[in-house]
Amino acid sequence: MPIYDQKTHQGFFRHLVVREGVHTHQLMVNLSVSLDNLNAQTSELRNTLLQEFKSDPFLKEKLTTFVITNNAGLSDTVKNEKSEPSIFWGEGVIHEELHF
Amino acid sequence: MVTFRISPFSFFQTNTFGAEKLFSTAFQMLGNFKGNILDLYCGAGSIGLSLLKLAQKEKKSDTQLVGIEIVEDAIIDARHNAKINGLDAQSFFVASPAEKALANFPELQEKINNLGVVVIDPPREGLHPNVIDRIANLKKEYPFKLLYISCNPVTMARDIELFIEKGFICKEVQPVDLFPHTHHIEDIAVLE
Repeated sequence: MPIYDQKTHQGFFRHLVVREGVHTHQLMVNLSVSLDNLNAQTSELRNTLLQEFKSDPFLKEKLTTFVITNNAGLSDTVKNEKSEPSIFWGEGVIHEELHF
Repeated sequence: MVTFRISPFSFFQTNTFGAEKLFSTAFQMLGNFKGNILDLYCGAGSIGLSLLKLAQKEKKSDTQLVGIEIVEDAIIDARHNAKINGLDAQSFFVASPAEKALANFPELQEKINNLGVVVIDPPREGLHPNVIDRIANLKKEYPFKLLYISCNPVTMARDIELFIEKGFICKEVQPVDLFPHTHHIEDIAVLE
């Protein structure tokens, strides 16, 4: 799958955000991608990739929640007015504690 | 211990152990206080709820928290976080720009009666001059302590000067290395 190019606005992978609750040992992965400009071949690859993610025992064991954000915005940020997160698995949230 | 829910786009201090150090240092500098807490730029409530929890530990069970934040999703998280920590009866969160909160929500006036602490943790740009004016006006009514936490010492220094012009006294400043191996530093100040 092609990496997103900030100049041409083509490509699939944009950002990977990993957040860990160090006290709770919960892990969130937020994969930011662009679903625009997918041709037949890359659409097929994308489906294969998502299936691989879903059946991967390592990911299943380690990730509390897996979020995939479709980011159709032009700016190089994960969160903008055109980014839409969807929960791939889990509850879409993790918890963290502060100990004093 | 205080628990927080973190959603994909909600802000939480990136360094948990650093945040514990930051908050405990800040609360130590703040020392004893009486009265309610006003938390501006409260995000998902991490500072305000931690301070409220601490107040309860010290048997100040009538302490109330008012949190104000412009991002609505963060306010939804803050309300949820209050709930999972059993603090929802003592805390009130509203989504509003800080400088307009009292005008937008007149019912807050009653909640901030007996104000003991004002917490501000603004974004890197620091405080809007109107916010400094509002806080200075509140100071005429209530003898609160001001806890200023910032990730940008430059705008913090600028704002502290403005607070001093308005009659505040800067008691103590303490940086905390929340972002090791970078040139960034978090900063705490207590003003009275």
